[in-house]
Amino acid sequence: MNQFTLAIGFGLVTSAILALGAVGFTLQFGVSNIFNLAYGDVMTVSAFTAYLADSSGTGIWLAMLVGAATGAVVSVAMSTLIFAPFLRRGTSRFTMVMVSLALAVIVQNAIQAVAGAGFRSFPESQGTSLHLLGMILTPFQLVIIGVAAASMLLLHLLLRYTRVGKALRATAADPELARSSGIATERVTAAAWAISGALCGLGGVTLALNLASFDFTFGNQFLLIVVAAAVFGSVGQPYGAMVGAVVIGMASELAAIWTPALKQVVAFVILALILLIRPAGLWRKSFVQVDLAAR
Amino acid sequence: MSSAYQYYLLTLLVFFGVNTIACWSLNLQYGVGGVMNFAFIMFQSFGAYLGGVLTLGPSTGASFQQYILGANLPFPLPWLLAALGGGALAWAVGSFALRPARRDFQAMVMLVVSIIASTLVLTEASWFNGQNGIAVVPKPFESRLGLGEVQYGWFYVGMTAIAVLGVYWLVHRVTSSPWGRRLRAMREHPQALASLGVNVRAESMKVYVLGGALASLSGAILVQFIGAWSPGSWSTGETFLYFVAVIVGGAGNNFGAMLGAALVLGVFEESLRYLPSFGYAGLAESIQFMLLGVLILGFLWFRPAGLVPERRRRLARRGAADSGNPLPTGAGQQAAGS
Amino acid sequence: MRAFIVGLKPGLAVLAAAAFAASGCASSSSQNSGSGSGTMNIGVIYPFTGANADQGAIGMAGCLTGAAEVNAAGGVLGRKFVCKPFDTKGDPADATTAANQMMASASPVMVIGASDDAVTTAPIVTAAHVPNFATIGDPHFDHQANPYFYRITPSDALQGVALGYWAASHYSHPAAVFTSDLGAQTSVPPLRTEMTKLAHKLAADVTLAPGQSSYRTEISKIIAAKPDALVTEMDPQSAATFLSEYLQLAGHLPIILGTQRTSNSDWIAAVLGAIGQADYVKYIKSITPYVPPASPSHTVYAHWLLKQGAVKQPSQYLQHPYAIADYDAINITALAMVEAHSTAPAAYNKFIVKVTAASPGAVQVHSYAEGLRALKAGKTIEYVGAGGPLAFNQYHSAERAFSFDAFQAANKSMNPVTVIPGSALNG
Repeated sequence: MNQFTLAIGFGLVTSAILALGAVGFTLQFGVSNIFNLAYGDVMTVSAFTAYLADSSGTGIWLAMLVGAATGAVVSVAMSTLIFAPFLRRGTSRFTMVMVSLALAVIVQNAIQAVAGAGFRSFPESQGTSLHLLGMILTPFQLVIIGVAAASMLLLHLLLRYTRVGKALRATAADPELARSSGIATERVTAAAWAISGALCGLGGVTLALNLASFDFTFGNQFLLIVVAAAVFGSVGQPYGAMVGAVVIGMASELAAIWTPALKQVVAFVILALILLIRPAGLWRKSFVQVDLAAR
Repeated sequence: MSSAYQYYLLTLLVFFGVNTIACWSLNLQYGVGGVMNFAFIMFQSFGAYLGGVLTLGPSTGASFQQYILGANLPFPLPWLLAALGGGALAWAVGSFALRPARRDFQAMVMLVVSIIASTLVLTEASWFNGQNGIAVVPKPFESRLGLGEVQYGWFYVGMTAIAVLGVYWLVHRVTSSPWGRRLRAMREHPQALASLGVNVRAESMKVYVLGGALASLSGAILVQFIGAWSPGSWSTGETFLYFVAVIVGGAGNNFGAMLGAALVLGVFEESLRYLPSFGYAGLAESIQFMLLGVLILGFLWFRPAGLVPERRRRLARRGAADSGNPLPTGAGQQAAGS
Repeated sequence: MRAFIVGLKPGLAVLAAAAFAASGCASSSSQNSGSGSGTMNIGVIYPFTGANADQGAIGMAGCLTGAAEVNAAGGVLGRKFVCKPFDTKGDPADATTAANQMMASASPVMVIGASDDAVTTAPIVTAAHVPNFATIGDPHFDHQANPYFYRITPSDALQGVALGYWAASHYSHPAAVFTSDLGAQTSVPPLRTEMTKLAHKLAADVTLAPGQSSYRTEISKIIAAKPDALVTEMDPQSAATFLSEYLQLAGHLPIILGTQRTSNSDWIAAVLGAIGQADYVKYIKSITPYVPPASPSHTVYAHWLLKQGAVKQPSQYLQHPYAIADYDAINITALAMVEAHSTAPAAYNKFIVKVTAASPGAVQVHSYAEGLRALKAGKTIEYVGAGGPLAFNQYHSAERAFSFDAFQAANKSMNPVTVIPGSALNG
């Protein structure tokens, strides 16, 4: 069995999960310019609710929907209850990062307080492996790849062809102009957080399934690589995040052939190199003027 | 006061001194110079490791502690060399991290460097003993003085205080000097300054190196007191905790940074330990952490400009008026935060 | 408002610290010397938050069980034990503060903990002449000389030797798979040395990055080396992901030979959920400090453990070597206090080794109550713990045997199958 093709197959799964996470993260940044460090913990919460649903017999598909819904609800709540009030007072973008950090601490420890420090596993088994084109994948992994691909396609269609999507892009490009043109930016913002939150939730559930067992910290641990993928493709740009997810996911799996202990380092080195060549990330045209620094 | 209480108190004082130096260093880089050093904790950690391995004797591997150097140097060489090392590391990192023109891009590169560094230190056990970290770092002058535990502790507090005073002298000179004013102007309007012929990148590098040296010094002071250092002490989130301290205290001025160190890293964290323990193990502790998050949110809400907002200097005020920004409480924080 | 803030003295932290100190002084209710009525504090200093948060729960379980047993027999010289937790948060700086706070605010008569942070906390405790029982495996402590420090679990170095010894004598192609953190450093070098000594080779020697979402590429390489056993130590998350992916890719697992980490309930829960019970029973084995599964001491331990309402799911600690070691430490302390006729740490410390030593004519006792009766009758005792006999060597390290354990569904723990005596490892 060719190590290389095997790694590519495995990389596809990692990239699929990473895509869900990174695109959601980048959408949140795109529409409100917030570098949301609590994103990983929302993934964790969504996985826990999906687990609860699945254990009470709803089956994995419904559980995934529950997870997506949780992600959406929690994200919208965070945005309207915490982030928006801070933004309205003119808090700088950088301080918003600190706000999201405080929120992350609160959410993660709330999960620990409620669910405890133990591990949970989804009851479904992954099924036997299939051999396809030199890759080995289980049916479940194919499902994950399929879900991710479908979500990306749906998102693309949404952004291109629906009014909500167009409003999203307009708001992200220039909020004042969008507002004065009559687009209800608050509702658009809420819609964006809901959509990105749904992706976040899906990412959390698929990640938890992939990890086989999960606890209250797993989302936060994954946040680093999600940010890496999003920044790689220019944070704020969903198509860039998709590319970033594929590159980072593949790179780490391929690196594992040579240095298993340093596979994440390789991914981050690639990110660092890209940032040095293209400081704004790979996608030259950003979804929105990326400006952490200024208002 | 019993000796246990004295030891507790002097530990808090040493930590306060170390955190103050660290916050002044970050304030210099970010509050004054506008450089968002997302790799901050890496510098403090580098100073701790370097100070530790320079104080320790050569690595014998017999106590299953492997590390580089091991020069058994006498005080104050470890402190000084740690500071120099931190400056050198900052120069190395800054030479490519400061290349992008925008602060947030620089921040990203620094964050990535910090993550790579922590993974490498963890994996390459021969550098700094990996996950277990370095331990039994001897305290300076301990055998020579032959003092009791508590008296030696006060002696160390004294040494830390001298270091704090020295760093304050340095930092104050920088921030009240013409260079400090230029840095502040550069922080607010880098393009304008560049068009006036100021080499923004070189100035950023200078403040980055100085801050890096001071951050490493704080690490060296800490490691010689605690006697150990390991990856548990420098997770990436620690950088953000220091940023919170500087912002809550008031970025851009030294007193604010020190207040932030005392408040966020001292009072908040310590007072939360005293909450009663209840329920099963870990429940009270996770609630304590939640309260820390709530406290931080509260301070960011009620005091967005920090507890001690930066004194509005003439130059900055004129600059702010030019850009059309109003000057409510938010603006101080915006200026400090940009 | 602003003037008020600016007017604050820079010595804010000093005031704050003094305020804590004062408040602590006022609320501290324990006495530290002699006998009398009231309570005595036992400091339980472990991580209660962060990556190793389970260690805190384990320590408290052991402490509460021991305290309950001692208190039910009337306490020591009329005084009862109270367990007080202190959180090291898993890093040396916070551990130092926690240890200082513990000594200042609780004035413990005995301390159990910390685990990996004992390098920083133990000196603080022993400097105050308070006995510190630690479960740290770091080989640093193999030759320590402090009279107040006691190590109640074997050194990691010995763990590595035991792993190598068993792997070399039972498997033809063992592979070593460790994550880059943890015992990877302290267990692996002695493992390799032992394998070489026994003229055996590792089929593969892989270090993994912890906490990854996928190990499949690494696994396919290991599968290609066709190992019949994996000698491994990983945190629960990595283990769950790694083992479930291995199972998917290979269709079965090789024998997984773990360390005492495999005995932890969070590890068991994580991997059990990942691979299912049938495969767990079949493949997961471990080399751990030997805990005799059934003994008079263990019966007493189990009796009091299961009564602890403050412990979540106490049955998970029935076979846990660390919880049992902490419990034994409490009994030993109590018996030493009785023999010393004093609860003052400086007075009873020298009796700790005495009450556990197998001297000629000594009566073996299996609980505090039993030991109390024997001491009152004027006998010399040897306390045999729930973890077996606890002979402290000259470095105050408890020389314990290891055992090869397998999982039993009945008590959802690893139970000893074969004992590996210390002599096999020293030879």
